[in-house]
Amino acid sequence: MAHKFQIDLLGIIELLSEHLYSSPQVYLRELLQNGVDAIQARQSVGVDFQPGVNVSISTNKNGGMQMLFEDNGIGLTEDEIHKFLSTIGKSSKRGLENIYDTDFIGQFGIGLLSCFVVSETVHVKTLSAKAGSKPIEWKGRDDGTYSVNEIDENLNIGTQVFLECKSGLEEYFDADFIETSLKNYGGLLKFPIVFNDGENETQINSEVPPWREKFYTSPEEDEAFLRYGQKIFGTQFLDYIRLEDDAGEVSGVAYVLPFSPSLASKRTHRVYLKNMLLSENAEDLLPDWAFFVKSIVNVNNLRPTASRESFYEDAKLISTRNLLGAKLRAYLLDLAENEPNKLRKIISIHYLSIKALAIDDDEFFRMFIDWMPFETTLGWMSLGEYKKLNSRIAFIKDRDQFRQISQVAASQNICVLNASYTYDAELLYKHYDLFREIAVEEVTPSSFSREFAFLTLDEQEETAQFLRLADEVLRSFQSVADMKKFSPTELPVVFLADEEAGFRRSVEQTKQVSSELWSSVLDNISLSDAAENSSQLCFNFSNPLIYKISRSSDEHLQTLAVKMLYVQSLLLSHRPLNSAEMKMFNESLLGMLEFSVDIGGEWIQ
Amino acid sequence: MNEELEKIYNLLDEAYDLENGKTKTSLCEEAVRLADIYGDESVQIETRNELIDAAIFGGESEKAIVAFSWMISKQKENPELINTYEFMWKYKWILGYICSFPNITRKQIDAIFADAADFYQANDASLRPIYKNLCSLEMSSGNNEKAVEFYKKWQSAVSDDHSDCVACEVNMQVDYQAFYKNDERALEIAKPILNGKMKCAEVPHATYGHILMPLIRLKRFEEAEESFNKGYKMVSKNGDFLAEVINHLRFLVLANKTKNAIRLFEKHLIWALEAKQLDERFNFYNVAWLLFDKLESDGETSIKLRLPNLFEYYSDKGIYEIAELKAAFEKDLRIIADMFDKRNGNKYYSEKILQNKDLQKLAFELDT
Repeated sequence: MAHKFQIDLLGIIELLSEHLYSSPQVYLRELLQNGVDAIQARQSVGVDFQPGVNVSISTNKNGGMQMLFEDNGIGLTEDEIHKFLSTIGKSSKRGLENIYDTDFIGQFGIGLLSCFVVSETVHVKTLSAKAGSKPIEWKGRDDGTYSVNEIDENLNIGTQVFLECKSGLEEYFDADFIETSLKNYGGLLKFPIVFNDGENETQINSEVPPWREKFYTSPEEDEAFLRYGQKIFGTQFLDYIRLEDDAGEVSGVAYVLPFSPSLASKRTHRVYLKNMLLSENAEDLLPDWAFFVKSIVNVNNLRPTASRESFYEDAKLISTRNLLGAKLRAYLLDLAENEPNKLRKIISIHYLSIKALAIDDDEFFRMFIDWMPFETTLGWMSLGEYKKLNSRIAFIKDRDQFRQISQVAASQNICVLNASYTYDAELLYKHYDLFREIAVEEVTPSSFSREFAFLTLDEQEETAQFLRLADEVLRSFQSVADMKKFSPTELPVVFLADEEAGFRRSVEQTKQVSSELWSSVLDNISLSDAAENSSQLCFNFSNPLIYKISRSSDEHLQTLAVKMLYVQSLLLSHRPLNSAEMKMFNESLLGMLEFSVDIGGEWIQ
Repeated sequence: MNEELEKIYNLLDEAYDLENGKTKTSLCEEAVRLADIYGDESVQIETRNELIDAAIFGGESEKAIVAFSWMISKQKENPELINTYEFMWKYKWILGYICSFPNITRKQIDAIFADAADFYQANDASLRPIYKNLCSLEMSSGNNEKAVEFYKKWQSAVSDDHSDCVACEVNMQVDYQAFYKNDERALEIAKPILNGKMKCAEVPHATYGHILMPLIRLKRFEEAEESFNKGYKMVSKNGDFLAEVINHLRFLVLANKTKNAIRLFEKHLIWALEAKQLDERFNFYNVAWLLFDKLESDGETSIKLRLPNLFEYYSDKGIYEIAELKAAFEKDLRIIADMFDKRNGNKYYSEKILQNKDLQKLAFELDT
């Protein structure tokens, strides 16, 4: 008897293929999932049978590709077939949001629908395991018509699905493609999946994952695990961590990446649900800080989302994530105790991940903080080394400010940490929290420059006039002048600006191109309740040029020099010049040329 | 590629690899400075685009506003240079932050919203995001009637590709309902977010914080605790989530978990001190006041705290008199409240200080 779908079948197929699934190949996943569900359903009623799935491909009389997909699961009765059709009907009205909230029968129908993406007809023959059932045939077409009939055939219990490849989609019926996909989705399944490509029959899941194997020596175990990782991900991993829980709900392995991954991108994992591949790119299963591993995990008790490519964020997911996190943490603690060389290697690649974990975990912090590398004015070193050299921890939180002082600090052998990197400042605060006996101090360019050597009273008197003049010149640029002694002596000046001064500078510069409205907004946004913070140009009295200029009696020369040195120090610290500064630069450059021509004598005619 | 350009792109690459936060923002700022020296307009635009994103999602919206001012003048001068779609998204973000700075006048805010609306209309886009931001502006300015009016307009305007993602929109609806104490409704709306069906870069992070007060008011304390446990972790590392951290801190104070509350206070005070968005600093100080009020009523008189030396009342020894801390926060609260009240032309912020003092009534004990 022919029926018409009471639903927009084409619409649903389109939705499934375009929005729900990553690509048409998932029809194989859906068929396999249907087979697995049917087998599990039959097992759950306590019947003793040898479960299995058989897939075979062949060519029809017109040369088209066709496929037969068989399982010996629980099968369907005619009533159940009508039920799945009505589920599809409901799904079409409610949208796809909740389709996987339905039961086995409903999901079976939706799985079948995905086959219409690659086949114009879906032809099912099935015999239910329920007592008194008769063989049933269902034929559906993607134009929305279908028929359900009892058939007079000798069927085994289970379900057979016949598909005919749509022209143009032959790649999805290619033998290699099918074999690879079945392996991908069903490689961990515990009953045999047999594929027949028309010539040969192979069991595609004969290889057992290493966590299901027993090993008698640890080298044997190590080798098996690393080989498996290499095979699945094509990467030679540094190490591996077994992931198992006592209840048997979680099993798998996490591999330590041999390179440092991007902090911004989430690490994805290969995740199986009840031994069927759910996603090759599942996020959220491991804690955020676990970006140093790539894992393969099978879970039995988590709920997949509608697209079947990740899990719902529920209590079970959270407890699984905590469990996996605890495993990784125990692994690192064990290395610190027993394999310091291996740990050192892992830290050199993954210190960011370890720093992230240390922030949240005191015990972990105490164990690892001294191993962590930091940039300092004297180069990279571990915090442990730093603490050997220094009785207190001094750090700068801003990268630009670190650069302002690093040259001077290095030349004076002062070691300051650059804590502008992710987590660093927070870790150092925490250090003080846990080890109060070591002082931790935040340094800014201005607090740093206060430590430069002062001039003697005589020297102060000699340079007072120059400093007054410099202050005058710099005032219109919201900058002040100071004179100290510091090394390296080749450095005539340093430009020091705290964060606030840097922000104001960018505001001033932007105002020059902004409309009236935005310019007035910028004026108001940079008003602050904090004390006025200006930038500082600190002259180096130990520098021979500054020494001479500051004692010169030629105010014109001094003015030109201050202007030129100011602009030079801005450019050296990567600060773009605003138009007033550019104008001043041009004028002083020409002034300087004129000055040198003047002292060089008359133009030669 | 020449050396200067390479430097710029190396900085952007480095920034790209980082999580949102100050480091990322400062790398982008450096890239902008180099681009300005380099002088190629398209590079100046590209670096500023990155800076705006980083500053908005890294908790330093003032830096985004500065960079955006530059962009908007470039856009008016030479529209072909700027990608309109991207520009409109950024304009929308800026609208969300502009009212956080009390020195920006209401007149300036209105002019900016009007300009944004004109721009959206000129580009045939729905005003939905503008209404959403207007609703939030009026909520935070204490203009409830206007807030309701814009909520309705926001809900009835069509959604297009300039609108926020569904998760963000629903999250804001939760915030709105919770703000007006429609607690049951807020929790109902939050459901698809809380059961994991809707998410994005900022959701459910923010939502767990939004539902804390509704849950507390409905005396569903265990659920509130669960929401804290899930939510705080998601927001504890990025200064952009200061508003959410404040919600979690308030929960801890009301739940009598003072030890934990003190830890959060110590950890996040630096965010509030460095925040140029004074509304957030205000809200943090309010909950800080609540914490010390609680400690005082527990009979404590002094406390050992590790606070950043940027704190005006910083003590080298780390010992603080609780009464003095309370007074200090109250003083700063009044200063900030006066700034906002003057701008908004009402007493909304001053009233918030008073209402906060009343919150202790909602205190409860968890069984565990």
